[in-house]
Amino acid sequence: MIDRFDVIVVGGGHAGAEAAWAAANTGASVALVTLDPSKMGAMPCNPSIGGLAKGQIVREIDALGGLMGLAADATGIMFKMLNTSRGPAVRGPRCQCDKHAYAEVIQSMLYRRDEITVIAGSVESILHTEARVRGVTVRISNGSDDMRTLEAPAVVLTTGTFMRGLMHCGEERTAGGRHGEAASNTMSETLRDLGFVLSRLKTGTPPRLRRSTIDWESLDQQLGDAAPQPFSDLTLEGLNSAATQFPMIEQVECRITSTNAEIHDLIRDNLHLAPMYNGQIDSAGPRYCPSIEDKVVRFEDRHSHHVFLEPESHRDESVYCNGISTSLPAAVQAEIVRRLPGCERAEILRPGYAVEYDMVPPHQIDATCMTKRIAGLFLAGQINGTSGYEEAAGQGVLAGLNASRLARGESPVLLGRDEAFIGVMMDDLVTKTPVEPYRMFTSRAEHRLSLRADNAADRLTPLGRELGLIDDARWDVWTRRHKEMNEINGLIDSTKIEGERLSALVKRPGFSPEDLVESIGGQYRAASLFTALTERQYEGYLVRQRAEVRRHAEMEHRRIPVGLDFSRVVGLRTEAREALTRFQPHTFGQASRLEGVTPSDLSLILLESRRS
Amino acid sequence: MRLGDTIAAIASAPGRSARGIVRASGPHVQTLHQTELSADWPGRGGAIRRLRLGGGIVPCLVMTYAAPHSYTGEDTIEFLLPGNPALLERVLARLTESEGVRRAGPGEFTARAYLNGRLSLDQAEGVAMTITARNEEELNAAQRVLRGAAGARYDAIAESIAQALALVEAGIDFTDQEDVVAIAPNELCDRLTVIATSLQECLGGIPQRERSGTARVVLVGRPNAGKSTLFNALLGRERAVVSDVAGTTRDAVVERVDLSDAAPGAGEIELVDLAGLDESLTHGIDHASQAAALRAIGEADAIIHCDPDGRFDVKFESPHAPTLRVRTKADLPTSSPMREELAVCALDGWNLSALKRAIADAAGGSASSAMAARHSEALRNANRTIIDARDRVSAQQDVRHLEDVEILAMNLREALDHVGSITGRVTPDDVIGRIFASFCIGK
Repeated sequence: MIDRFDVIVVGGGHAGAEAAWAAANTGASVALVTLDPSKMGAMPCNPSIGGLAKGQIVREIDALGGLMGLAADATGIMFKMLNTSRGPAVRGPRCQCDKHAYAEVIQSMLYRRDEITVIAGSVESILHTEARVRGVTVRISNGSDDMRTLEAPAVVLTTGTFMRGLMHCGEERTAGGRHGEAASNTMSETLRDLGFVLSRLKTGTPPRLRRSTIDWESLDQQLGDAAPQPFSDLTLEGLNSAATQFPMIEQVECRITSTNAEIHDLIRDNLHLAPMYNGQIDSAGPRYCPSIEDKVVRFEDRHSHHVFLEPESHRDESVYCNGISTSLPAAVQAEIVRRLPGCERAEILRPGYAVEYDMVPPHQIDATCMTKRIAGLFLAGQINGTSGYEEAAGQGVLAGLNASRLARGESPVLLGRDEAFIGVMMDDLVTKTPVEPYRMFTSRAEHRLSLRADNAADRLTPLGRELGLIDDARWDVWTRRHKEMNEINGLIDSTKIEGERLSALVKRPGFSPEDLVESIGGQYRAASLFTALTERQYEGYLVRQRAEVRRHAEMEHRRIPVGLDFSRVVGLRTEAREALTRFQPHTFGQASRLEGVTPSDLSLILLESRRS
Repeated sequence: MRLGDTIAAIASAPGRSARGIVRASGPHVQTLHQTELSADWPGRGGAIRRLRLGGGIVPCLVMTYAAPHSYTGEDTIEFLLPGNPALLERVLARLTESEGVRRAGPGEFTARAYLNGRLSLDQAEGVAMTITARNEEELNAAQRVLRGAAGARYDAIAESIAQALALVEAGIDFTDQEDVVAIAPNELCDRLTVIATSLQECLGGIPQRERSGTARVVLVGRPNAGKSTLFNALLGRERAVVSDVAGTTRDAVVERVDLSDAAPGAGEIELVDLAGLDESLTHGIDHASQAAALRAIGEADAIIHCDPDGRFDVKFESPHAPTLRVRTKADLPTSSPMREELAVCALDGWNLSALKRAIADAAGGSASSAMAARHSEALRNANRTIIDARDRVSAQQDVRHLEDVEILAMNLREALDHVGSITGRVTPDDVIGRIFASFCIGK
């Protein structure tokens, strides 16, 4: 049996869901192949969305018509805007979600789309003709071992932690991509056969405790914002079909406890049982998400670390122990938990574990997520060496969009470093050699002042509309906002207060959105006022940065001819030649950011590209 | 390499000559003409104009070429000036202060000419070779600086800016971490003051060619290495007191030497015989002469290291100048391995012409002099940015949180990029690494 689609998405995690959604938004027929459709949109680690820099990405996904913001708004159980005491550019919205509700919302949204066909099965092979993808063969997950061939000009692989996934809990090793789920062992081989180089990364998760066995009331509270702000502009307008009100479900509070010297001694005594320390795992894990073993060893002088106890759902008793990610044996974890104040009697529902998985080092993709080796084959999410739901989802949007465009014979679309954090991420992935799972930080973005959470729609929604990602409802919301902002700006320019121009007053330190309302009157949305004011306050810097961007634009976007043979470029230094050959940059901008490439090397490529 | 902006460079041969040319090409040329000469862009033409420079007026012949009828195919301006290298450098510095104007990289005028269809393929091949050679030369010159004492100072500055930036960024990207305490305004202020001071010290140490305009070449070597004899041979007459007793010369001797007989077009240099002062470097008896010797070496454009044994085991190096290893007294036999680049015999004049040519190359080494100019520009820019940042912080000494920490981070990043243009870029990832090293990050 042969089925034809425009786009096949393999995997239903955060990258896969967004890829399928974005492709469907642009009118593509999509097959979403996943081992277990009931796990689509799962949150295997911390059930939290957003945060510093990540919150900006969620806003960008929303501005491009994506799922993540809508689902988070519909299922958030604690919302918090981070960095409110800092400037607007570095604030990040974050929320904790009810993880069961989140996956359910994602699934119902995907199922509701006629363009998307969800197929339960595992991909056995990738079909291709020469260097162009044709489809996949799927072993259907119904026990019958039926094989199905799916054809499509574009395939998006989002394998997450499933490729040769290996979970470690002390000496106990279990093959699998997530707790209770099987790994995919054939995909790694398939990719190797296609000529891809694979590498291995690791990540980890803490134990989950049973809520009713924690002495909850004895511990300090952690509260969300009194006035939660949603991620999606649709939610704000009451147009989020999954969140008819906001917040949609009952809010929770978290509690906080901490480790102590006794626990640290216990960990030190048992280090020989920790896979990260006894040589059982040698792949790289993230520095920003260290296990408790790491923290104890690397920061010997600290005698206590916070542990945040975060309920994962209203539907079960599971509590996430944020701060003690570990791969120590279950028995040692029990000893650790027993010594946490308030957790003396706590029952571990599931021990923490580390998981190792295969990934494809991202010098093998371009900035649209398409592999350089096989046209039409896209990779998104952890397979590219990133970590985090938001980073994965951001790539999913870009990969789904471009897969759909490729299927229609349209030109690829990429986002610049000056346009979006998603653009910064893609550029970093295709120009740098990763040493750990890639996570976004605001400091990675040189245009941080303009890549804000508050103006994501202003930056990206018009582009999204042009590309077909934005439906009429969203476009109406954007148009209203745009009109409001124009009005507000007009008023700022024309208003005088006691002889002083308002346009000068708004730049004074401490001038707040409330002051602006008082000065111009009218009924404007808080979000529009906030952005208008922020743009004024950063104006000098933004003007300078935009001028800088314009100055570099010609070289930044100038294409290097595809397949240019760098070994033929006269005069290139060996170091530059090696870097260029490995990364095969598509633009002079990307080439200039490769380590070992000097401006003179770019001049030489320019001469060569002119000739060929 | 960038297009779309305006590039400027000294276009005449390095060293002192009758005429010097400073050339600029690109979209800002018409504006430059307007602002620097107070005259409207005339299109193609040539006129005597008055160029304002540091309070004074320099008359010069200005040639203008309108796009596409110029060498590069872009609007181009050339200032024809007296061939004083110091003056040319000041004019260039003045032009590159304008918005959108920067120093040209190796071969960049020609690269633009090619891209704009003004050069043939054959000519472009030649350009590629030139770019490669100049790039190699510049990278080598940069390597010399980075290996030397100045390199260590630049590295230290880059490190201290990166540390300050890491502390500031930690207060932005990791405020949700228990272990991260945002840096206090007064501590940051102190750090920035220290950084500014080191930047200013470095700026003072870069040889100011503007002073003399003539390349300075210094003869160094251990006692009785034959420096004074070589000095006289190059000079063509007796000047330094020569004797076989070590330590005969005690005063620095400076003479102008014309190299043009051996190296056509090379012109004059100032030849310095440290006259025994350098011996204090190896013996360390006299602090005053030691300091004088170090200063002379530091200010040199080229160093001739003399050693009759060809061992060159004593280090006489300057971060900004190439060192030429010369085995003197080549008429005497030596048993050591030969590490020299050139052997000469000052008594009979053997190889003196070759030495003069080598000196002309080393002293005219446009790479190192252009680099010194670029370095001081980078350090000046970094210094200005750091001082801006410090003023911003010192205005908020008594607040708990810095109000505009994201702007400060931007200032520090800019300063770090300026210094990084010398030492190698410190990437955001490097800065994040410093945060992980100082704080326990991760819940």
